[in-house]
This record gives sequence, C-alpha cells and structure tokens, in this order.
Amino acid sequence: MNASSTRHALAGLLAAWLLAGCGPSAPPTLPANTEWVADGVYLFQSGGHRSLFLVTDAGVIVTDPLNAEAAADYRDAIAAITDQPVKFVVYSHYHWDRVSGAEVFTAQGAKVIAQARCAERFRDNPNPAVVMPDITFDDRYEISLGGKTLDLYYLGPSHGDCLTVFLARPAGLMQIVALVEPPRAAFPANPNVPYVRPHNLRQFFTAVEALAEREGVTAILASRVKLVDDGAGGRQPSPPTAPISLIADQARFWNVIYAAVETARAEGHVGIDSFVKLKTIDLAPFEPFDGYRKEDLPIIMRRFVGFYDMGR
Amino acid sequence: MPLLYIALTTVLMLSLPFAAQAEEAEVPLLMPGTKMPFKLWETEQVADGVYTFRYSFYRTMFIVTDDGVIATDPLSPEAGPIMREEIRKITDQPVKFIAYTHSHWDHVSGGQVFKDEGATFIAQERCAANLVENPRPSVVTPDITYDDYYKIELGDQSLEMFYFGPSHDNCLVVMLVNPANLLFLVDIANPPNGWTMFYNPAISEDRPWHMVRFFTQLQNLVEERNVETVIGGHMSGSFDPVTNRPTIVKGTTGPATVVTERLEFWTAIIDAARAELAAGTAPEEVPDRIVEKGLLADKIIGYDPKKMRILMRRMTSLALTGE
Repeated sequence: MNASSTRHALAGLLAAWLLAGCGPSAPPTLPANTEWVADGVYLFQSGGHRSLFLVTDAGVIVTDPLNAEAAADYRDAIAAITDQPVKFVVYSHYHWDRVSGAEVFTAQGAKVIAQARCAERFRDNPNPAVVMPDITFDDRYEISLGGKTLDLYYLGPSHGDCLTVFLARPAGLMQIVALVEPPRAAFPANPNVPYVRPHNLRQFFTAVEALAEREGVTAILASRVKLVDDGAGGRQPSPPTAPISLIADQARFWNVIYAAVETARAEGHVGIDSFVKLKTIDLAPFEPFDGYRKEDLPIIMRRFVGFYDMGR
Repeated sequence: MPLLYIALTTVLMLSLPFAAQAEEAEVPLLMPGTKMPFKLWETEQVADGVYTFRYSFYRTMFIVTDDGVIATDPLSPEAGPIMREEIRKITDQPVKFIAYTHSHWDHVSGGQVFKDEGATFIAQERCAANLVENPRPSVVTPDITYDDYYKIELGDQSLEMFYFGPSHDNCLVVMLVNPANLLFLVDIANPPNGWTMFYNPAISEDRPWHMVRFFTQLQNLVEERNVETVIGGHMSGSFDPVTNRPTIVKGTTGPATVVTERLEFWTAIIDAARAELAAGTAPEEVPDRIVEKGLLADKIIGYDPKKMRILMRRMTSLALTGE
C-alpha cells in the first residue's frame, strides 16, 4: 500500500467511525445483502451494484431497483428490517441496469420519482422493465418521511443527461451513482463514455463540491461493489463509504483528462481521425487512479477531443 | 464532426492522379504536398439556384432566389466569410436566412458575417438550448426556433427542416430543398455509400438508441417525397472505382439509397451485439467474439477491427443500459 492509499484507507476508517459514532448502532441482524451505514440509512447489494434506501417510522424510500430479480430481493431485505411500506422509488438516472424492476414496489403503492429529462428519455426509448415515473422534477426535489429526508439535486448533464445527486439527511450522506465511487477516484468502469458529458462535467463537480460543503456532507456512499486492494497483497470488496474529499479527487481525474487533451491539441498531437496520439502523452498523471487502463485512454480522450471540436 | 474517414487518405493519397488547379490558383490546396486533387474550398451548382460550398472536408449549401439567399451551416470563422464571397460571385441578393443543421460548433460557427447583413438565424429548439448551455462566441445564437418542422419560402424556392428525434447530436435536422427535391444530410450519412466505417467509433455524439427509428422516419420521408438525390455534409469515404481500394471522394451528391444503407448499417451492428448477448456471451467478450467472426468485415467500407471493437463495446452498453 502506498502513502496515498494509506491516507485514503485511514480517511475511510475515520469516516466509518464518525458515521457509526454519530447515530444509533446498526440493527442486530441484517440480511447478508444489506449494509447499515447510519441511522435509517442502508445500502442494498446485488450484482455488483449498491442501492441506497432510507427506513423511517412513516415508510421507506428506495432508490434504484436495478432489475426485477434484484428488486424482489431488495423488497425482502427491506421486509427483514422494517414492517413499514415502501412509499417512494427514486431513479438516479436513466440507464436500464439501474432502474428496471420497480414494479415490485409500485404494486405495493409506491410512487416513482425521476428527474424530468429521465422521464423524457424513458418515453423516447421505452423498456417494458422500467416503470415510468409518477412524479418528475426539474432542479430539486425533497422527500421527507418520518423525520428523515432524501434530497434530490439535478446539477446538469454529467453521466447521461439526468443524473441526480442523492443527499440523505440528517445523516449527511451523499451518493453520486456511477460517477463517484469509494474508495478512491477511478477510471470510468466503462471507457466507452459517450454518456459522460464533458461540456458540463467541470460545472457539475464544482456544483457538487459547493453543495457538499453547504450541507455539511460527511461521506460519499457507494453505488458499486468492486474488488480493491486490501493493503496486504490481496483483494477485498470496496467499502460502502468514503470521505467527502473523494469528490475533489474524482474531479481531479477528469481535469487531468481535460488538460491532457488540451495540451495534445495545442501541440498538434491529435491524429487525423481525432484520436490523441498516445505516445505523446505523459501517462504519469493517470497511473495513480484506480482501474487505470492505458488501452482505454484513447477512447476516453477521443470523447473530450469531440468536446473541444464540437462543443458537445 | 466529420463523418468521413479521413484516415483512409494517408495510405492512398499518393496513388491518386494530380489535377492541376492553374485556373483557380488563388484557392489553396486542401492537402498541400500530397497528390489529392482537392482545393481548400469549392462552390458547385447542383440544381437551378442551388449551390454547395465545401470548405476543407465540410460542406454546406445555399439557395439563390430573386428575393434573397437562404444558406445553411456557416461552418467556421474561416469558412463563413469565404462562403459569403462565393455567394456574392453568383448574386447581389442579400442572405436572408441561415438555417443550422445541428448544434456542433464545427458546423455552425462563423455566422457573424451573415448576421451583420441582417440574416435571420433558424435552428431546432434543442440546438438553441445547447448553444445557450454551452455558448461559443463565434456561434450566432438562433432568432427563430422550432420543434419538429419548419419551412422557409423565398422567391420560387423552399427549404424544409425535419426533426426526427435524437440522432447525431440531440437536435440534428434533415433539410429538403424544393423544387429541386434535394435532401441535405450532415454527419449521419454521406453519399455515395451508407456502409462506411465510423470516423469516430466511440460515437461520442451519436445516439444509437434512436438511430433505427431516426432512419426509419427518414426513409419514410424519402419515399413519400420521391427523393432521389442527397447532398452530403462532408467529403466521404468510398471505394476507388479503378483500384477498388478505400479512398476519399467528393460526395457532393449521390443516390438516396444512402439512407437505406445507413439504416441497414445501424440495424446490423445493434442486432449483432444483441444476438451475441442472447447467445450467452459475457458482455465484456462480445466485441472480441464479433471481430473474431469477422462480422460485417466485408460489408463495411474501411473496416478496422480496432474500431469495430470499440463500436461493439458501445453496442453492448446500448443493449444493457439503453445508452
């Protein structure tokens, strides 16, 4: 483990300790596919995904149901924790692998909430497995139930056109699905990033950092489970939380991409087919990021060449 | 974004015949030092009152009437003023309208010279939103916006704009010029052939999730209006008729069959990824399996296995996430 990862690990432990110390302790028994992260705040796991849910005395708020099979497990996991009904299902964005299967909850009367552009996409590109939203919002929506709140913030295009930032209060926990993942800043899981929107990414991260500071956010919640170094030469599942500094770290990754592409263009190192000539690039700034894959860099950078050429 | 496959030229340009440009020596060559016979810019008449203007690999068009001129994309700050001069060589009429095909800066920059003479700028409403969300000083923002259809009538000519939903960009429109009945397509398909390999296989600004529906609607338009000829927004990749090797061609106009071919192209690559997934192949292995099978290798002009892998990663993502 290098110094940087040691710092990250210690910060993660600190965040976990703070979370554990700030509220009631975890329920004595939890389903194996469920993690407790703070008073009433849980993560459900399935197929490498994590979905946030809030348990209150007045009902449950569920986010991303993933798919029909996972959603049935999701429902059972919730039932093992509380008798309260699921009142709301919230979609983080429009990708089907996160938002299919809500029927198991809507059949119980839950309402589905999504950002307006997500709803537009579901109409344009329907999938029978995706339940259409009952409620849409533009920039902000607040779901308050039994003394707990899930705030929804839309900060412009980022990962797709409608990704919504989740803020669980009063726990002060933020989840930014697919874009910011514990434990460390990383390469995108899928290098084919046409749904990463370079024209607004810097503004998005600036807005997220300002929001986190304003709302006193203490930690970032994971939306994925991946295998990471355990510090002893082995691999272990990635943790459910990370310190809030992870947002700045992930923003730094994208800024490294912007800078590399800008430099390549200025120095004439963009090929005739608009791919950056990789041999001209200093790879050192990229190598510390989790999941670094040299072979994926050209695909990622090509996206940003397009941004500088076309504005999109 | 250029849809053509410029890279093809690097291998083939030396074998092409050199065409002397003595009669228009003032126009620089597009690729000086090579034997590619293309000038940096060029104006061609393609029908009565209808002209194309190409600058570098980009092409736009303008329509001359006795009541003024309708022009489309001004292209760039370099190209716009040259285009204005080219129009002046043909007519003294003012440019009354500039109609944008989509919102990408590399097509719609450079309109100020037309704005200065009083032209009205027209764009699909999502294009206007894009240009507000992400402005660029050299792009004139539209005066008039529309949803799915707009028609400019001037003198004895008309220019119709059709929006069929997201395709390349989220606001690209196709344009129909009448009475010549010419279809102007930018970045989504280019004459003479719809089976060209993607210039950018990461297809940053293309929306595969809507392409089949887009081209189906476009195909319907072609049939309903009996369109036979398409004007291409770029120089294009195709086969050299002599050597049968991939090369660059002008692509100014070509048969409307390019629409059907591009519909077939999209359908084929999306279906290929879906079929491989349905056969039980793990998503991360789909691109390699398809390339190993040589799927569509003999059909796609300028086929490149590296680009095909990237394209198929994208198609796999489309099948799994909807994007």
